[in-house]
Amino acid sequence: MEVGNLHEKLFANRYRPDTSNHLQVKNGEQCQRCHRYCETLCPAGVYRWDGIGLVIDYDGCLECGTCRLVCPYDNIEWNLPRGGYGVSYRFG
Amino acid sequence: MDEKFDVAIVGGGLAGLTCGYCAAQAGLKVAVVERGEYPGAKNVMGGVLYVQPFLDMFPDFLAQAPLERKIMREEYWFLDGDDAFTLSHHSQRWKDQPNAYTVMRAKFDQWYAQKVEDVGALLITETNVVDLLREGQQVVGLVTDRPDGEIRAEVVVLTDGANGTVASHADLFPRPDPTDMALAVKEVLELPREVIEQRFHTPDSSGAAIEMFGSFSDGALGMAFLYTNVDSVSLGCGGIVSQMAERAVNPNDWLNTIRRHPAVAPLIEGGRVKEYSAHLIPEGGYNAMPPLFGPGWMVAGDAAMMVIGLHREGSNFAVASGRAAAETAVKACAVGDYTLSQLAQYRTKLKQSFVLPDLAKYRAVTGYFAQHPDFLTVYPRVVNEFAHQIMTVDGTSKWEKQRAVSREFRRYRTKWQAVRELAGLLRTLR
Repeated sequence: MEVGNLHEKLFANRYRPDTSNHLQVKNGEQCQRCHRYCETLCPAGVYRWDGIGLVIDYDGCLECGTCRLVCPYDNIEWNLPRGGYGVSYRFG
Repeated sequence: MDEKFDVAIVGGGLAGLTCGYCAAQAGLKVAVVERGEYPGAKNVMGGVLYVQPFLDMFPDFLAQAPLERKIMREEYWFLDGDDAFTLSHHSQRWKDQPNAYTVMRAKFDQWYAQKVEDVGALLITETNVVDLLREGQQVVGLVTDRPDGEIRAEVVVLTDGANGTVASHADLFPRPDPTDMALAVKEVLELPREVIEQRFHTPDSSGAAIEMFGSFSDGALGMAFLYTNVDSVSLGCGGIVSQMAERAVNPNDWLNTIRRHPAVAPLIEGGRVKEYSAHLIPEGGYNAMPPLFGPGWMVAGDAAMMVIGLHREGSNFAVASGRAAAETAVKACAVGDYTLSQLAQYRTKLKQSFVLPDLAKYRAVTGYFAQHPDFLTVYPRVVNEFAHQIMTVDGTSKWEKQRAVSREFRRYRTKWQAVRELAGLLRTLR
């Protein structure tokens, strides 16, 4: 395994994937004028800028809440995944 | 839910479970609402748990609880590039008087939750708290995401952790600021037990805890850690969210630097990732704490910013504040008064314990490092350079080496600046 490969690492985790996205961008236009710290900081690589908008790969979310804190425009609506869904740490 | 509870607790972490345990043991009707599949499913910490608060509660704690390794050695490493300058404390006194153990929170919290259920509390898992029930200003219960999901209670205790969403959603207090929160990531790396014991010199289930500071964080208030578990090691790092944003750095960038460091790499070689986690740590301390109580509610643990990052303390504050909240609820139920003035006893209790005095003592630490952004690069560099020069015998006189180190140091600081800076640090720690 390549050292520190993020996708391999996320693959080691246990998730119970929810069917709906618990992370929503409130106003997509705002992101165009932003440093997009969410994309830089997210430890699970959930956010990706595709040139037009943010692509949110919520399945890998580790539910740390960093994106919510770091968004300068408070533009991320951070809801909890439904009870019992999302990441389920086996070690923690 | 038609039943009415004395205490409804949001979140089954160390603060919530302790509150639930103490309140139920005192005869109150308690509900603990946990969003994970099981308590611990969403709970992460580096892994070092101080055991004294639990020994007070459970006399046979060490035999019963799922603990990993007893910490017999604490180390601080100051890294600069490929160099390391390390300090360590070994103590046999910890053998008979255990201080800290590594734990896996998913396992530990399930064990603890069972204790809470055993004394009669109701544990409701897989359930999100989405809002608070109110009558005027008085908080009178919880709204969950279950159908028919209102839970009425005399007292609500918020222990929903560093990423708690209830308080800001219910307008009790705003979410924390990114200057007050650290983001940490961790890998649990599987290694055979005997390999760990050879590499870390930790026989017989003893363990080592290594904290690292230095050039990897590029001046941000950041740290890394390496802890031994029974058949894995935990490698992780973290830093203040706003400072990582300023540097446009992802915690995995730091982690990948650390794992390749020549002092770290041989210790983790061959380790297979069993789990990768991320979590916020409230580092803002005393100055960033929210109001601790209001009419019908209290807040404890990480949700109340009760952490001293410097000493890796947080679990002890969670337990102590959870217990203080329970004791306050017991008193309130005895007199049937759940108003703000009655629940103010919670703050008094925290003030009389170590919780608020200790948090107040370290109130300036996080701010100090924010104001001295190169502290954690300059000083590790200088100690490594000094050690290297003094320990290398190459025909140069020690006088000349000393002058070289001094010249190197003066590139960053005048003597006077250094004295002022270190005195300032001592003042914040005093």
